[in-house]
Amino acid sequence: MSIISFSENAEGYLIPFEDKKALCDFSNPQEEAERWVASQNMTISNEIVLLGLGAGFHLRALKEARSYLKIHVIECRDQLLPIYKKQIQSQVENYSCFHSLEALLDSEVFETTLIKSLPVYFLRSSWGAQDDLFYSFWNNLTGRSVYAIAKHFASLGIEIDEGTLVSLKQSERPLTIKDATEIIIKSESSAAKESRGYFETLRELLR
Amino acid sequence: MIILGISLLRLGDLVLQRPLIEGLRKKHPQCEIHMLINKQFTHVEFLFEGLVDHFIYFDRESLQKSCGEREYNILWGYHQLKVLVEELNHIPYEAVYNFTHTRLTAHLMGLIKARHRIGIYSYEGRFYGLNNPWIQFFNNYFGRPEAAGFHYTELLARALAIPLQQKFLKGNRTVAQQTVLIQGLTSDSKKNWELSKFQSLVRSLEKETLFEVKVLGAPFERELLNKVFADKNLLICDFKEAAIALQNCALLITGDTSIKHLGALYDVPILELALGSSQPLQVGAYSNNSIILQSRVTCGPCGHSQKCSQPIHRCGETLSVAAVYEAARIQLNLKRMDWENFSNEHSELNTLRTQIHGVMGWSVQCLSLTEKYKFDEVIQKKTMVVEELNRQATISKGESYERRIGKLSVNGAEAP
Repeated sequence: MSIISFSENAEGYLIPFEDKKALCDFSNPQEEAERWVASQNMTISNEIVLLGLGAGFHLRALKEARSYLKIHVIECRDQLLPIYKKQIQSQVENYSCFHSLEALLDSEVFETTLIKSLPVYFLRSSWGAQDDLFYSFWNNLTGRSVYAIAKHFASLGIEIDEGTLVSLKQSERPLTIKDATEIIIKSESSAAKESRGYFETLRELLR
Repeated sequence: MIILGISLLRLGDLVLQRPLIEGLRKKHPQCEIHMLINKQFTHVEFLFEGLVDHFIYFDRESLQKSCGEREYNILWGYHQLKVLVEELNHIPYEAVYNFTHTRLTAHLMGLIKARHRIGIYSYEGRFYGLNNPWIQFFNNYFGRPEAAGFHYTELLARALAIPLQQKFLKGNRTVAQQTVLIQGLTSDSKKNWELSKFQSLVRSLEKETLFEVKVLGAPFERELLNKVFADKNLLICDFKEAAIALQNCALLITGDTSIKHLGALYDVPILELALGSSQPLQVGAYSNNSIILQSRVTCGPCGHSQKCSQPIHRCGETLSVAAVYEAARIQLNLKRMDWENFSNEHSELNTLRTQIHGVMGWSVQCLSLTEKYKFDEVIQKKTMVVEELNRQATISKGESYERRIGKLSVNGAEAP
């Protein structure tokens, strides 16, 4: 894990840097956070996942704009929470820090996110130098990885056949509803047959 | 008895389907009718007062977003759809009608429990409900030249075995009809006539006649319309307000729009400017005496989802302000000239008139003698197809609707 350093901006806020990358806008992090909140579709659910605490201005802006939201914050760098608590908000609920994908996949928050199909939001600059790790978190939390979709389908009583699993694993791109539909069509299980119409309906919306 | 109708296409399609819902109500006067429609069309419910007992909404926009946008869980749409279908399946539907005949509605219809399914539906990846020859014809040919002369509403009525009777909405005519309404924009730029031409038309009508001229627009179109028209000429309103304005207008000049179909429901005199991919021989106004001006260009009508293939918008350029102005004056009874003379003077255009006959149903008559034979052929062909399909329908009577399996094109049979 790389080193986090801090630099004070004109307003007196300590702005975190990782490999010379600022984790938010250095000169005006609050305006950036407000713009980010305004651009998000927050109508999906009252319970969400925020992927990346970064400097935390976007989390504060989100809480101010949508106080009813239950927010699960997921981070991978231990150094960020203390500074967030000190300069933004001392109380943080539903916060988790995972240093690896495996740790996330074993966690309760991952289970909850999948079971409830929670939406996942992020401010890209908050990912800093951890793009790859956060990307793999996003891929799994939104059900777009082979592992996550297999887990999803298992909860619906649908098994993915071996051949399909092998071909899906060869591709590194995030899975789409088209892939999910193909899995359902190829599956022999009765649960898959029952669900087929739903996936075929959704697939038509992509045409 | 409760019946469910599924209609999940565009606004214009829903308006075009009103006579069908009226037919369904007539066929089953005691039944409860529910309609599953796109959530963004709640504002057209007023058109179905007394016909539909309950609307259910399909949140197409959110479901579509859930299939593509990054913050959604891949199965969010599945869970939402499941909730909707479970709610529907709690209602003991006697019959469910597929009014839109797309793959989307076919799959959805396959999920809904009902004693009878009328129209196309899917089960385990196969499409059923295609045994009615009228459904086959609709599915295979609608939107293509083979179905020229068959109106969308009429064809759908035959496909779904719903009696169709021409009955216009009465509306509330509160003032003398001294307004000409113009719907300047359509949903497809290919179908638009240049706004500067509409501007010249407005000026001529205001200068030379006593009619007040108003350009209709939705709130989101205001900025664009304001670039060309003064505020006093604009009537920015929602769909219901447009319906009220239409009831009191002397003439509607429009492209191929949902406002045209709304005007047809109220039997408003219509002058349609059929440009781009407009198919006046299939989705002209479902009313009597709507006049259609169609540019006679080799590239038209062009494909529904294609870009204009020409360096200039040839069909729009061919249609002159003078021709539209003259046609409007005839429609407003300000000029004695008859349509035949008009057609002969404007040989660059097809001048057409819609009619609904008791026996023939909807037809388009060509008002130019030199071109009349081409359109007479369309009517003759329609007569032959009607006879043949009715004959086949008699033979296949007794077979279950739900037994035949067939292919469904990617877009299904959508109105072009």
